[in-house]
Parts: sequence; structure tokens; C-alpha cells
Amino acid sequence: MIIDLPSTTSSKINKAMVDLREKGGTVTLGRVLTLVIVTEEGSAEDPIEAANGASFEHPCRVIVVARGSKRGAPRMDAQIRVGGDAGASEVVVLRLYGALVDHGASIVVPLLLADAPVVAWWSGAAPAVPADDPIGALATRRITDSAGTRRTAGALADRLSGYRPGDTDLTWTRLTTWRGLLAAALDQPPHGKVTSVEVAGASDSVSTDLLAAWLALQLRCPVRRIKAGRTGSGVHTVTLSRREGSIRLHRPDARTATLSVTEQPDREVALPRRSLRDCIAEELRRLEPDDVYAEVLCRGVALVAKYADAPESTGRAHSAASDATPAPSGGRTKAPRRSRTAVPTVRDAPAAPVADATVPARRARSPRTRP
Amino acid sequence: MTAALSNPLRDPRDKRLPRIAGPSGIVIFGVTGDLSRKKLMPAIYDLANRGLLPPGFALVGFARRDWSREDFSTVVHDAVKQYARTPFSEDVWRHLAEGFRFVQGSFDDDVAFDTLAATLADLDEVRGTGGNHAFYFSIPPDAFPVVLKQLKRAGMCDHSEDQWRRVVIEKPFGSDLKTAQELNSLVSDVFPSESVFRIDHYLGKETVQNLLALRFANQMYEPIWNAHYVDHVQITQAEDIGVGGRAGYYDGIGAARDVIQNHLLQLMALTAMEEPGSFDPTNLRREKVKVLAAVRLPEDLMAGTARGQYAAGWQGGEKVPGYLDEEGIAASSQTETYAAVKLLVDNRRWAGVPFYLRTGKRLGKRVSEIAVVFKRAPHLPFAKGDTAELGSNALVIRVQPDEGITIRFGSKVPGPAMEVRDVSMDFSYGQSFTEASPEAYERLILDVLLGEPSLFPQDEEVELSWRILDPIERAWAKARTQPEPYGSGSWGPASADALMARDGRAWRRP
Repeated sequence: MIIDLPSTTSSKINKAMVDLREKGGTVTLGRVLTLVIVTEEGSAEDPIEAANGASFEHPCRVIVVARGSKRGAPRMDAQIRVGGDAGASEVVVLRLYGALVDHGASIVVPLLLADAPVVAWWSGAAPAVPADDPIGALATRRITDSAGTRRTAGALADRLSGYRPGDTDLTWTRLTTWRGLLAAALDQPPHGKVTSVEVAGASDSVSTDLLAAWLALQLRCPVRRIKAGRTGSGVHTVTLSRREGSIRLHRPDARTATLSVTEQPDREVALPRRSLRDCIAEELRRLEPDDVYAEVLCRGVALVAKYADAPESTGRAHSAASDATPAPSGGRTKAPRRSRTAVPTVRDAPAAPVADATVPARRARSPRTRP
Repeated sequence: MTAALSNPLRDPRDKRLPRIAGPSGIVIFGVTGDLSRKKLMPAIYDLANRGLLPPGFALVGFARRDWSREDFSTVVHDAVKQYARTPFSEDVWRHLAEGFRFVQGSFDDDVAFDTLAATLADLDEVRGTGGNHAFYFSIPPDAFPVVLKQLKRAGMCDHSEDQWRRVVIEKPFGSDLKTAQELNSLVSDVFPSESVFRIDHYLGKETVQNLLALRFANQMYEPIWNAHYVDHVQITQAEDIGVGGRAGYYDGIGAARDVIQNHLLQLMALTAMEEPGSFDPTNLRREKVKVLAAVRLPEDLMAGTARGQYAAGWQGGEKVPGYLDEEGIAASSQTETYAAVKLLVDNRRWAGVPFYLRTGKRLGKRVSEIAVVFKRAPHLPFAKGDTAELGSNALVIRVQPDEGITIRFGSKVPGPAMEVRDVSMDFSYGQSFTEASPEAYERLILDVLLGEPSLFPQDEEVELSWRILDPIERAWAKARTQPEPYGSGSWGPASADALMARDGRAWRRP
């Protein structure tokens, strides 16, 4: 059922929802969280669909803040969707216009479920520091999507400079299947130490960067990030080398992966790119800060950059990696591991880097400021 | 476990990382059966679709039917299309189907088992299953000995350090203590006990696992979870269907052996047990065993139990035959299709609190639940008539369908008079959750492949359960009476109501 409330206010929406519940006879309030989706007007339907799908696992109230044009008089149009049109959730779509566009939080607050956790999700461009955003400040968990932004090149640096505990990014979520397969491969004997790693993926794939960073952090060995495939094709190949032979997970076509282990037959497995619904369902499963993501972002990315810096002396980089603290790299900031074909705007340096983010922030900034 | 510890990619804080089974395959004996088509095949596909099966997974069917690999593949395909929970993906299917094999033969056919052994060796070679194979016995228990013997003869149960062989058995785990022990020793001759997985699919259900969360993660239930506040506990498993195609198996076994011995006693153990030191399999099992060992039967077994047999009648708008008229059932059969027993638990927590367990076929509706019924408030400061409609508070854990939790309590009826009546508050884990929550078999099959035994009852629990049920079965057999008939679609025989009435209680209508 869809109910439209043109030119309305939060209290009218609340009243309409209580009415609906009473008339509809649904007396249960089994919702486990409030999901606030911030999006631009016109691109709200995909995230809503994903949230509705995920709501079968996490019954929730979905509040969509769709930001319209800032011109004109402040106005809010609302739409309430329940029942078949909302999966197992109830969806409130708020379309904001005029000055109201910047005051989404004031509308969201009265609509939040009592005592339930709040998750904010920016399906498109995200604020520089999600936790400081008025809506982000309401949430315990803040989801961004670096792959959803127009320029992925600086995306990781932006995520890093704006990181606060509770942040997470869908480019990390999309990796779970890859990470699971690699971890499962290492569960099997022989349990020899991995001595070097190569991670290949599209040049614009933030997920590939994160995968390399994760492996560098966990395996404490040199990791090379290699550009392969056309843009948008995601992760291609991961090769883990050990004394006993190598483990190679290769996905050439974004559908099927082949796992090749030395002295074992090749094994194939379907490894499709994860749907938005799956990713959101996974995000909503855990609402505490994702410490592993934080470390990968704050330390792993820098480690990979360091290996890229010192291609000939992997031994040195390796010992630095074992210290597990990115040493101040002084003038050694050249790390051009991505082609910078993006618009050469000189962006502001990330303001006030968070704890132990100093080095990667420097590193990420430097290539862009250079011609 | 050791693999997980030594694996640098497994960080205990990394809760996203799924546990994917290692290289392995599964062999299903009795692959043409209902269970296999409706539960196992769809569960295997769903696991594959969720990315939890290893690359190169193999599924081998073994049955008498003269099928080619393609025929087998078609059967699985149809089963998956019809019963799988997750959407069908051509890619997932294609890779899964490449690992299908079918071996035709009967259980006494040496050649067939040699072929099976060769097939497994070939799979290790081609698919990289790494010598890890689970044997799923979806077959009648009387076929166990011969199959086990064959597996041993063909050398399929020898495993080395880096490889595993596991066996999965479905209930019934014997038909009394003696046969259960025989079965245990028979299986343990061939497979070490840590390689034996007994499937009790109830334990794979989310709600049952949620029972542990409800009890041990919350502060508000534990203080009242004892004889001071609990009046009694009712555990119900009701089916609306009759004996159907299972006549051959069911007759002579009956409801008590079929359901109470495994499902209901397990649910009771989880409801009544003390808090385990941790949720690792050994600790959990220790607590379950403790409570099962503390179970005491009523003095007068005939007064403390009830049994019935469904008679012809109308159920849900359909005319259905009585048990004795069912195909394959002797007209003189004394097998019960309804059983209710009263059990006591001799420990400090539960002294004097009866646990009533009931199960039956062709009852009012299909439902499984655990109802903890509390004592009435010691004093009610209301006028006499005001609380006439007030019953006892109850906490109901609905296992299936519509999984969730209901709390029943008294509330004032709106209006000028003070009148208190029962209302219920629902937590519907159910309606929204079930769709996306994994089927019990998915969880259990994955646990078998991972070698994770917490959700599988072990020898000791099975034997203790039989120790509880055996005296009851003996008393019934000695009575040599026909179980009391009850109308199909009703809630069981009058003697079951009388059993409760004697204690001044009544069955809940689920």
C-alpha cells in the first residue's frame, strides 16, 4: 500500500503511520532498526529496493531522504509504503526541496524507532566526514559507497580522512565472498607462510585496493596491486605465493572464478558480483564498528603503497610491514600506482587526519597534487 | 579448529568472513527418497548459492534406480527449482552440476561399492575434493549394517591426517536403548565417534538456537526461569498430516519414538538446562546430558502418559481416513499416533515443575512450540470477579511455523470497570525473518562439512533419551490396549486432557 502525503510534516507522517497500523491490524512492532537512506531525488528506487529485500532478514523502518532542488520554497512531500510495496519493512520516502534540503535530520529525528539502532546509508556521494553529518550523527553505523561516487580515484583517501568508528563502505562489503574463498583456501594444509601476494583488478576498483590492503595487513608480506581489465570490471585475480606452491583465485568474467592450487586440480565456483541487497543485508547484520575494515583502511592501504614504492627491496618493506606501524615516510611520497586520468582538480587536503591516518593521507594526497 | 587458528586471514574480530567448507563432497544413500529431494538437494543448492560450498564440491547419488548422470542431474534440477529457498542462478547451478555423479546399485552389491570408491577417487582427482567425503544415510536403519560393512570393505572409511570421512545419520537412532547402543557400536566400529553426525533438524532451526540467546543473553528471564515462578512447561509438536507414505516406517514405531525421543527431549533439555560454561560443543552437551540424566518419570506411568490413534474425520475441510484405514497399516495396529508424557526434573531449579511433552499426527494444525507457563500472582488485589478472565502468564517460543516468541499477560479491559483479561504480545521473528533465514538442513549440512558438532546429539544424549522413553514404551506394551482413538483435526484423545486435569491444568491451544 502506498500513501502520498504532499506538503507535509513529520508529525503528520507519524500520525498517518499510527493510523495505518491501527487500521491494518498489524499490532506488532518487530522492527529491529531504522535505516536512513540519503540519496538524490530521482535515484531513490534502487536503494529502496535493496533495503526492502534486506528487510526480509532485518525487519526495519526505512526512511529515505531524497534531496531535491535547493531552489524555491522549502517543502516536503512524503510517501508511506507498507505491505507488499515495502518488503518486510515500512518505507517513508521524504522528498525535500528548497532550504529544507539541508535540514533532513530535523525531519528524520521524530520518525526514528524508539530505542532501536539507526543506520545511515548514503547511496551516492557521501559527506566528507559521515559521522559529523547531521544525519550521520544520529546513526551508530554509517554506510557509504565509494564505488557509487563519480570519481573513485580519491575515494579511499576521502574515506580514510573522514573515518570514525562505525563507518563502513560497500566496496569492503563486496569483497566478503572473495575474502571468504581466500580464507577457506588457507584453512587447508599445508599451512605454510604466504611469502608474496599479487592482487589484480580494474584500475578504478576500490574493492581491489581494499583487498590488497587486507591481505598486506593480515599476511604481513609484500603485496602488489596490479591494474588489469577494463574499468568497472572489479577484482580479477589474487595470487598467494608460498614455498609449497601458489594459490590463485582468478575471475576473468565477473561471474565464475577458478581456484588453482599447486598440485591440485583447478576448481571452479560461481563468484558473481554481489547485489546491493546482499551487501545491505550483510551490513545490517552487525551494527558495531568494523575494526577490521578500520585497520585495513588506516594501515593496510599504506602498507600496499609502501610496497609499490619499493619494488626492488621487498625485504625492507617486509620488515616495515612486520612492525605493523606505518613509519613516517618523510619525503618518500611518490606512489603513482593508479593512472590519474580523472579530472585534475586539486582537491583540498583532507582536514585534520584521524589517529594513525597521517601517512596514508599524505600519500594519497601527493599524487593528485602533482601534475 | 587448529586450521582456523593458524590461518592468518581469520581474525576473530572479522565477523563478516563466512566459514566456507573446505574441499569436500557428499554421498547420499537413498538419494531417490523424499527427504533427499525435498530437503537435502535444495539445501545443497542454497548453500552453493550463498557461496558456502567449496569450489569443486561433489554430490554423489547412490540408489538402486537405473539412472545416468544426466537423469540424476535432471532430478536434482527439478528438486532445486521446486524446493530451493534462494533464487535459481544458472552459473551456480552449472558449477554445482559438474560435480554430480550417480552410482547405481543395491546395498549388497560389492561391484557398486567398488564403483563408488572409484568414483570418489576420481572426484579427488578431477574435482579436487581432497579425499574429504561425507556419507549421508537417508535410508532405513535396517540397511545401516550392510552399508557400513560395504563402506569398510571398499576402504571408503579409512581416513588419514589431512582427510576426513564423516557419516550422517537421520533419526530414528534405534528403537530402544538396546538397539540404539547396538547402532552406536555398529557405527563406531567403522567411524570414530567424532565423525558421526546425527541429524535432528529441529536443532538446526533458528528459533531453537534463539532459545539459547533468549535464556542466556537476557537478564529479565533468567531470574524467573525456575520452580519459584514457573508452574509447568508444555512442549508440543503437532502435525496436521497423517502417516502418509511413511506407513512402513511408522507402524510399530509410533509417535513417542518418532518425535519425543529426539526432538521433544532435545527441546526440553535446551529449555531446562543450566547455563553452559561456553557454547562450545562439549560444554553445551555436558549441560544437556546433566538435565536429561535428572529426568524422573511419574510413579504411575499409565496415569502420567496418554496415547491415541487418529480416527477418520474431517480435517480443515477435507475428509481423511483413520490410522487403521491407512494404506499399509494393519487393522489391528496398536501403534500410537499421539503421545503425551509428563516428566519431572530432579534438580533444584525444576523441583516439582512438570514438563508435559506431546506430539501427534492429524491434530488441529501444524505447530511446534515450547510454552513456559508461570504461576499465578500470589495475591490479586482486585475484586473477585475482576480477574475471572485472567489466566496464567506464559512465555511461548514458537518453533514452527511463524517462528517467534509470544508473551501472554493480563491487561485491563478498557472501560469504567476494572476487569483484567489475557492479552498476548508477539515477537514475530517469524513472518519477516523466515524467508531469509537459512533452512535447518542448510545449517546442518554445512556444519557436517565444517566438522562442527554442536548441533548434533551425541551417543550419550541419545542413550539417555531412550532411558527416559523405554519404561514408558514397556508400560504401554504391557497394557496391550488399543490407543484411544481421537478425531482427526482435534487436539488429541480425552485421556490426554484427563492427564492434565488430574494435575489441575489444561493443555494450551497452540
